[in-house]
Amino acid sequence: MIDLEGPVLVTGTDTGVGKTVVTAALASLLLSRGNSVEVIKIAQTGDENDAAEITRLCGVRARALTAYPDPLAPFSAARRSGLPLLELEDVVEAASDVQSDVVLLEGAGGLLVQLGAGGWTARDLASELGCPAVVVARAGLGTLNHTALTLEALTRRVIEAAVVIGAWPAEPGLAELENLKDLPGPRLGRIPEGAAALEPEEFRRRAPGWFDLSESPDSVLDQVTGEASLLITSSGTALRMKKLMALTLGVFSAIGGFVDLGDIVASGVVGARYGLGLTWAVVLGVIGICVFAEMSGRIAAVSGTPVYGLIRDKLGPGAALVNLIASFAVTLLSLTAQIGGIALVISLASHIPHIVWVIPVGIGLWLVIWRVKFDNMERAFGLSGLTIAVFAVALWWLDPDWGALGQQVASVAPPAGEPLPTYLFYAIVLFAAAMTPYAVFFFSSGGVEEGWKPSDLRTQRLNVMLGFPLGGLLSVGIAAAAATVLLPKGVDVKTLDQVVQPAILAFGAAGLAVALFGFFAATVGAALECGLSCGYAMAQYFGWPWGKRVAPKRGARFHLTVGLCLLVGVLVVQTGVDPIQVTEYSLVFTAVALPLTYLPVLVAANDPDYAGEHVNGRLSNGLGIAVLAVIVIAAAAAIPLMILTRMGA
Amino acid sequence: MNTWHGRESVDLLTDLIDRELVDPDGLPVGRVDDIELRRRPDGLWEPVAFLTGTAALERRLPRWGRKLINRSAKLTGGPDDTRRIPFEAVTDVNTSVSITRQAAEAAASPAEERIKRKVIGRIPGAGHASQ
Repeated sequence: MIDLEGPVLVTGTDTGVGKTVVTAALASLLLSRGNSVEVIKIAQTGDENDAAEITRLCGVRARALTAYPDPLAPFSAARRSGLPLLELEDVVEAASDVQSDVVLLEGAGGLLVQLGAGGWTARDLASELGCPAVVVARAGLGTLNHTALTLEALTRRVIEAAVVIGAWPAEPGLAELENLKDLPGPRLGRIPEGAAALEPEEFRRRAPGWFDLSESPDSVLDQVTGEASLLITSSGTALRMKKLMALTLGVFSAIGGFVDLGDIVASGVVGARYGLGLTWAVVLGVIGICVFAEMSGRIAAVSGTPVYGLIRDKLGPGAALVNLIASFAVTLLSLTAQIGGIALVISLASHIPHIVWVIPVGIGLWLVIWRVKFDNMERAFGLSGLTIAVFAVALWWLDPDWGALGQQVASVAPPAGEPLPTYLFYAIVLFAAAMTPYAVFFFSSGGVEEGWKPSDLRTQRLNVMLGFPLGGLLSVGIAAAAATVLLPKGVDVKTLDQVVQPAILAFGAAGLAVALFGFFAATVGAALECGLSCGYAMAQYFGWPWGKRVAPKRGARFHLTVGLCLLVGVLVVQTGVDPIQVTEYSLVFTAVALPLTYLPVLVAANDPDYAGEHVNGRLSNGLGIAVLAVIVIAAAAAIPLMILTRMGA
Repeated sequence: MNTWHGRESVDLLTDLIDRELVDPDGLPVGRVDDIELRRRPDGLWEPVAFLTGTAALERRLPRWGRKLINRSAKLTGGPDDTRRIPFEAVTDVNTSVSITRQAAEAAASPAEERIKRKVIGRIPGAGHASQ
């Protein structure tokens, strides 16, 4: 059941369904439970005075924020009267200023009636406040549809809701009785018809009995969409589950964006050559990506602006276009690498050459982007990617010389006999594998799509702090396993089947299966992120409608871009290029292009327009600038080192 | 002092140009690619409307960018005329510029419409958001 604490929206499936009496009854219930309550009527129209009626019935303080003389929808009534429209912010402020335990916000008319300036609705208000909604419904014919529509509209914005029947007849007919069984959503109660005619004292005495807080059928989300079965009905658990699910976005970004083909290859190659001697580069990369993602996530939460939106705004159209082309090209290259990677993983499992799998992989990826629900996508690939932990488990199983591994971790110089430039080249590759800009585009765009608010900042930070380091650990696990198994044999890692050797050595065929499953999930996740990020970057630069949450029809150019990128990736891999080499090039160019996207984000994180009161503090700026320095050095050194060492040969 | 959407002064170059235009649902309509100015009788220039569309954007790009954008617009049946959003249609100014639904519909991109009609809309399932 919903949480009756803080602001609670009281809305209806229609006008005249009994919102006012339900509000008064709810207030009485809360008073009887010892809560302090206040009521705000958002806009009063016509001659009635709902606020006074509420105060009369339940005795709590009630006020209307504005009133218009004509008995019309507030938006129309305001236009006719020439009186000013309410600003959403003012209502949010009024609701937030209330000192009582609960503030009941009574809308006007049904849920999607325009209430004020710019056409905001009661739903926008609930979404802005992050508060639950009590939906007042009729008892008779027609209510099933109205109620389902209202609940669906709330579900779209992830607003929790419960239903109250506004006027339950003393002698219910067949329709009412049947409706009572079939009415969707969790039921909070029903108010007897004519309750408003009771003496106020009687009303207050009887009101608590009209509600049943224990009755808890499946959650609204569940009933309406058949999805989100994890959302459990008791409010505390529901909230916790919701938070847990919000975390999967971060974990998904991390697994897909961190442990992608680039990371798997780089960790395998480096582990087999330098052991854990380059762990410091991974640590730098993890710190870098955390700082980068945290800033862009914060901007997304405060201003609703994704990364490319602010890049265009900060740099102007010309410089932003250069930036767009560079980042787009790098992301497309990463996408190509991932597509090749997925095909390689399938070929390792099936013993059929990877070239056969490229087109099916492309089609599969496109179908996922076209059809699969965002949350499912996040959960499925994020959680499956965790199986890459098999490398860490294999390491523990093989019980290596932990002291020697520890010494490698502590070293910051190339092992004896290894040239410094090659060592540094691989440091940059590992760093770039960690700091993939597409992960940040995806993270911040996903945050905008999920409608993050400043109140989500803590979850967002937790996402970052949990997700990316977790990804880092997984990749260090791959490197450590390679250091233990491949390094002593002097294997020069060139293919994926070399990377999975430690898992096979420890657990045989089962180890191979788990490792390949993990690689598959991670590369598919990364391919989806890359593909979507290509679309995000273009759409945000040009101002196209974008995202997975709008129907493809409404984001035609976005979906066309994503589809074409997938096609290009497929065609390139189909030519027979070595996906591992594509990956290595994509990492080098990632390093080169990083400052382009990082710098505008750092600047915007200091701009109150974008970050509001959450602008960078001293710590964030200190870290931000330190990371900038590392990024600039890596970008400047990447190409010279690549040429000098002939791709680390 | 007069304010405009809660601001006492607005810097066209840093506060308005290149910002996103959004409809009342928060969906992007385009970007402020240019701003139309009008010469007032007293000789001062007054901004009167936002312009959006690749034709407006092109004018603000270096030559290579202009060519690139122009060619890509041609590929999708453009370039289209610039759409104009009068300042009266602005409902809120933030990191994005909110405009009325009517203005948003009038400013909708013809290229988006063409691609929807000819390509994306023809694929089964185009009408479903994969939420």
